[in-house]
Amino acid sequence: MDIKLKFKKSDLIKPIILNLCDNVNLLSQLDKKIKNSIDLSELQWVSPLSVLPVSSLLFDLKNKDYDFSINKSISLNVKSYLRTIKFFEGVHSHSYFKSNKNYIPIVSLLNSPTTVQNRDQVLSSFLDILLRKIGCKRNLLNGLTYALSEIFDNIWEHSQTKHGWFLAQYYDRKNYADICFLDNGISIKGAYEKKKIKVANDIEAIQLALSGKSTKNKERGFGLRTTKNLITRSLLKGEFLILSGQGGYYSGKGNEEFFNLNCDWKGTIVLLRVNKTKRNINYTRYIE
Amino acid sequence: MNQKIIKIKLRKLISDKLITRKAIQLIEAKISQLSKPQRNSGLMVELDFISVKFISRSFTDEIYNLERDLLKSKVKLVFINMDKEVKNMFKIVSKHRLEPEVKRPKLKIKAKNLKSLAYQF
Repeated sequence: MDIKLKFKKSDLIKPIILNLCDNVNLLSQLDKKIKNSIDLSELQWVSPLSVLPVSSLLFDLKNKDYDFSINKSISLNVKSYLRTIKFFEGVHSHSYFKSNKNYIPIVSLLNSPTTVQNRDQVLSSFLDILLRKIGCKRNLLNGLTYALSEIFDNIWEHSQTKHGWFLAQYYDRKNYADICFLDNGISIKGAYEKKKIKVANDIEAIQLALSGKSTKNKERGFGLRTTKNLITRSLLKGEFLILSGQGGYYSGKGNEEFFNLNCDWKGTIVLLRVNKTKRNINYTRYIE
Repeated sequence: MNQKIIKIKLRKLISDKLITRKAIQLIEAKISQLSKPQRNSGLMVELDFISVKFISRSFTDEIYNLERDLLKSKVKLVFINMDKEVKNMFKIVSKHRLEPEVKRPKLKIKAKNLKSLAYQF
């Protein structure tokens, strides 16, 4: 089976989500019994939201012994960049991070008791490099650390995924960073259902999570809401996206939207778009 | 009876940023390792936050859970060398643990299909 994945070059997030859904649907058509070919020739520009989900899906297919080859008829620059960010299998340790670069390569961390120490160290290193690029003062640095930590920890606490993934890119000319976290787990709706909390659909599950309803106890459940508020309502003026199952939510530029996807992402994806700023922001204002 | 003190430097054990909830297991394992054969009253565990630059809300909540659990065995947990940020997070979490749960209203959401959304983002 031959499939051609879709990648649109765009600074806007919505077209990338549409392509993501197309790619999820295309990859679900691969046949385990035959040889498959995956064409990446449309890939002209790599963004975390376009590449990380594809990476995790290809990794999953490989682990399930699907027979596929990747046709990388793409420009040398893009080919080289994919190699640099360790597409598609990612890295498992922060020893691959380079402090003078504008990116954090694809990181894939196993969800296992043996990787607990590694996870905090990996995220710590990731934060040190990336947030320095964004040019934060100390208070904002801690605010973003808070936001990213909460998203990161949700992967291990709720998703029941085998692997947690992330990828980050800072765009010098555009003065913002895209930071993408992803899991292939049970989705937010699945996490609520496991705890016998009824939700009608993925949109309602996302809404519940954003309102602070935890699957565990009352001290939990704040991560998504406070992160969203810090990223979008503070002087950061960033953008926040969450996709889970067949639902999604976007907040940014003074707007927010819940929407249905035309695919089913088995798990949850969070994208934070954070603008470069020299401002000092009191992040504790956003912590309830 | 002499009080045994177990000292744990969190920066060395975990990282300069204490992030995930599960990282608390590293502290629990260290306490178990260092407290043999005595793990009962008379034992004090000193968590040293020297060079810890950040603590997440989640991790702080787990520290309070650990403190509560250790108290059941009459093991005291103390914190030293906490910087202003770390102390602030402890204050926030501590305050919230004492507050009653707030019930938030459920909003009726009319979600459109992404393709048909007029707003471009």
